[in-house]
Amino acid sequence: MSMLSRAWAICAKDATQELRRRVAIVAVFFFAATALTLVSFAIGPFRLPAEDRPALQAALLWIILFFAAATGLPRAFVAEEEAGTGLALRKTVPATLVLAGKSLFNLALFLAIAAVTIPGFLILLDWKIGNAAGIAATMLLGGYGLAVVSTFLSALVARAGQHNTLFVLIAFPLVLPLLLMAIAATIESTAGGFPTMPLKVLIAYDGASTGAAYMLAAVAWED
Amino acid sequence: MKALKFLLLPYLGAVIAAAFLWPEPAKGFLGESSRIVFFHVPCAWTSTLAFLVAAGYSLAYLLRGNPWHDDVAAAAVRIGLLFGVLTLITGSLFANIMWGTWWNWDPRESSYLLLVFLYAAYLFLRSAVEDPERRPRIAAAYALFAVVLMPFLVFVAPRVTASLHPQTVINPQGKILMDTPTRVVFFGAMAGFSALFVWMLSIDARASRLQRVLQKRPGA
Amino acid sequence: MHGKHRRERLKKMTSLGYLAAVNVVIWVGLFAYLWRLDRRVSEKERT
Repeated sequence: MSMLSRAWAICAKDATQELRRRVAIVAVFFFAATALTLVSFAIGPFRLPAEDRPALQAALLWIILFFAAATGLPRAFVAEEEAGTGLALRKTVPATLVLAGKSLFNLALFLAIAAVTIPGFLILLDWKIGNAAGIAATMLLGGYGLAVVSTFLSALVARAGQHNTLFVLIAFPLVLPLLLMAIAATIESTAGGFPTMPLKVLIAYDGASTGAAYMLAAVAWED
Repeated sequence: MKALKFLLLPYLGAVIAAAFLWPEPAKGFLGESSRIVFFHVPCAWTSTLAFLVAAGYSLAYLLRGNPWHDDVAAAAVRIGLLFGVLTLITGSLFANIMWGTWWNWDPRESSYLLLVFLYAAYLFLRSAVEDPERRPRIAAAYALFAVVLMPFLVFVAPRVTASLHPQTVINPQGKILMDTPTRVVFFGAMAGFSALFVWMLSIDARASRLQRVLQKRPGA
Repeated sequence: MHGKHRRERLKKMTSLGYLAAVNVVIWVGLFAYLWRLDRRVSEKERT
């Protein structure tokens, strides 16, 4: 099998496993829906002053996306350890491919969360997408970086005690620049422009995290 | 080495006395508040240096597998955190004098606080991995991953919003805006703090090595 | 006028000198602590 198809096989395996077990994946979407409802209840579409609206809405959107994702993304490796399949996977598949496959699944998960949250945001908070290409690029690049970083960190915490708490502790300072850039890009897209500058930084962040994760994959995951 | 240790105290004592007495306070700052630059910036520099040293020794550990390198990396993070907290405290003192508030979520303040969180997380991660064989590797992987993403936190994130932080050292022109006495004391303090860091690092790392060796020894 | 200016300058220097002295005392304490630690670690290393 080629490298790509093996990574894809890992991704597909995770997808079928998570869909079969359902609880975890339903919890992620339930979290997104709850957070969205809470925000729209508390703020409503017109409570925010017009001039502050783009910035506040962008921040709220990414807070919902990040925390909903944070309940699902660290499962990548934690689930393997819980199911006791970690050892077999380590023996049969190179660490970089495992990481690639699981990052792919996490990216798909993030995009699914975004696909559910954004329409809700449009309806409940009267959000306007000024530049659809800008938003799409932001979601793709932001989601990609988030997926790679969280997959890598998931491998680190998988065999440590208290992994869920630990994951949030170690992930937040690392993904904060990504979130700030994504929020800046979202604000600019809402206003109708294409967010070239923040997206460039996001690409640099994605590249840096991919390179680092690729180099360190074996260290983090193998024995 | 030994002579240097004994020279460090008179040297740093002289630098500190000079910091208070020699340069004129900088213009545009309230009263004598600009003198904090001789403490605040060296602390920030030392903690940055410490985190880079930690990354270097983490890499060395992954390449060679020598546990001493892991001792040094962990010690560097601990001492880097100490200087990082001192940076936040001195920065906060300055903020209170200049801007009338201890903490105002200035971008530079916030990104530095997150840097401290980042390395505090390193220590949490270390303590959470119980297997002593695996701990150094997981910690080294995190330290190296963190150092790759650190520039985004330190250099990019503060650029997104305007900062009130004085730009005498880090500024877009890339120049150090100081008169001669200020410059002499400033770089004197930078060198002194760096030397102090090396000494503290060696004490901490050697103590960790002792602890590790004594735990391994049967009947200890 | 000149005398008053000098007196104020002297007052300022005295208070700064006091601060410098307090700082130096703190640093001497810190160094004493570090020396003690260094010596204890060295002693243990020999055994």
